[in-house]
Amino acid sequence: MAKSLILDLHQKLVDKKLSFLQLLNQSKNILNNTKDLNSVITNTTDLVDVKKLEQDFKHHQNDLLYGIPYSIKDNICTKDIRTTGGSRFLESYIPQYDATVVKLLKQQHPMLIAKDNMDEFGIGGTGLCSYYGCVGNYYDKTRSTAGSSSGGVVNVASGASIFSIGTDTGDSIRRPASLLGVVGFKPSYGVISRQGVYPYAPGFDTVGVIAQYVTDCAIVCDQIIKFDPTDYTSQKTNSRNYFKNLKTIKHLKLNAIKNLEKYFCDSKSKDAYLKALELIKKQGHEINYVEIDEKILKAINIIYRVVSYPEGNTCYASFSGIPFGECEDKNISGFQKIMFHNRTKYFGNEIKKRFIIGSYISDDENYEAIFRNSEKYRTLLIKSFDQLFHNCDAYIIPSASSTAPLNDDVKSCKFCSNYIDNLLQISNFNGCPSITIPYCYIDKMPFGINLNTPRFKEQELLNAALTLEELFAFKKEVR
Amino acid sequence: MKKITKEKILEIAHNQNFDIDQNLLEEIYQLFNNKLLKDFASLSELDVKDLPMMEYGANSSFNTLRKDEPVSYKQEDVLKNSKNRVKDLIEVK
Repeated sequence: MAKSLILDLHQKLVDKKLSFLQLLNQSKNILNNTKDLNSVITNTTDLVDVKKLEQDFKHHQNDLLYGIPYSIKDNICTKDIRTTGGSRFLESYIPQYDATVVKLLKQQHPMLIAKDNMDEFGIGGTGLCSYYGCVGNYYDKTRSTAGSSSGGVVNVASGASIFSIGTDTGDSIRRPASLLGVVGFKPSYGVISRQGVYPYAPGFDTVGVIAQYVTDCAIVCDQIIKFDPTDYTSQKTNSRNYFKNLKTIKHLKLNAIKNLEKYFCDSKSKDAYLKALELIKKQGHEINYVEIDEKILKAINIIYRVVSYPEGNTCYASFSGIPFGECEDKNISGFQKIMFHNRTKYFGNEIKKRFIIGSYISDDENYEAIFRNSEKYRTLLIKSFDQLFHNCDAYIIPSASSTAPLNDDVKSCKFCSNYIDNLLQISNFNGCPSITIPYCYIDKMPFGINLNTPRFKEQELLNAALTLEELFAFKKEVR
Repeated sequence: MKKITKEKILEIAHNQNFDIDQNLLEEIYQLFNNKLLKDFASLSELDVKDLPMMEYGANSSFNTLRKDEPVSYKQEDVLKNSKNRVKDLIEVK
């Protein structure tokens, strides 16, 4: 039977074997015990009205998310709760409204326990680029969480949050999920509203779910996947019954990239990936191999930079610190000077670095050579990877080239991501759903597998992921 | 694509309305000229001459943009906080 923390807790609450106060206290204790991991920007446990939850529960017995502890990445607006985006620029910014995804969740009254730490405005991908400090890995705090949804993934791994809402522009949900042994689900571009979500690269940005189990992701998606007339890129989908229609598949047909193993730097991770494929085949499922040109694999990350850096640059070009954000020095006069002072002081180095590079590759000198062709390169990537969707339920890839590297190695660039690490970016280029599920531990650090389906095939993806989740039977270890 | 000079980096930073310190200047200079420049040059190995520009919605595996007009939030609700901030600044000046 499929595992689900949400269903377990909901049943215990219905049977009165567990109270909302106990549930809240459990999250509080875990957050207290994991303070050293720096996974939280704003702790919201004191805002939870437990008495009201207890009183109103009789009217919400069918709401599976009722009273379930969750957290939200700090780039998603929450009314009357500060939303910093991991940036010093918005250190005291309190939104006047909830993002659509928050509004939808509030219909079922889950318990918001934290705003999750993240790389500044989702830019960084390491968990090391937040103004509020580096996020430590739950299994070894000296190791990387990757990012940018680092805080949310740590909070789910520690058990403080039963689920977390994050955003994924390059791999920001799915790679951290791999390094922390949880499920990270990025649905199709546009099926979860981005209204009220701070952008990084709007052509890629997707809201997604982090949870312990595939079933929990399906339950949360039933509540938050909905057409939103306030989001220009919002997409209509047929199904909102992912949980009800969730099933395992007897004979799974998967496609995999031929000879991908030669790109692993770490032999243990390579062995783990190959063993996973063997295990799948031994259970009677089918794996077919598709060749992808090495030139294409090499180009993924470069094209990602060419498209995303200028987009990020544009999104924050008007950040002046006057209508929004910090502006403490009131002795400076003149709009230009105020803006210059604020942007110098409140933007972090990683964001400045990307803005400068983004600006250079899209300026007059380089426009023809690089930027003008960027959307053609994007077409090439999408077409090249479309063949992986042929005649299968999903395609399978490793969700990282290794387990979590040491933070010091990431900082000093001793650890460099390779072609395998860039593969997750494909589903941001083509807007397709993608999910990472935990597979095994290597030297006590988790390692994950990633599955992908064509656009709007969320149900098929969740079904394939559930099938592998049951097959892998990953057992979570407590640190 | 040409190498980026330190002067150009500073010029872009100033156009972007922020300043950068010496360490960051050096980091960007090294990253761009020693790594990214080669990476960008390798894109020329890819033949994209006959490919269409990727417009959102052009590909079957991608999305189709909506044709209807999105509903907008009232500006005054979204900017309630910001108006107060601007007012504060104007009063100080």
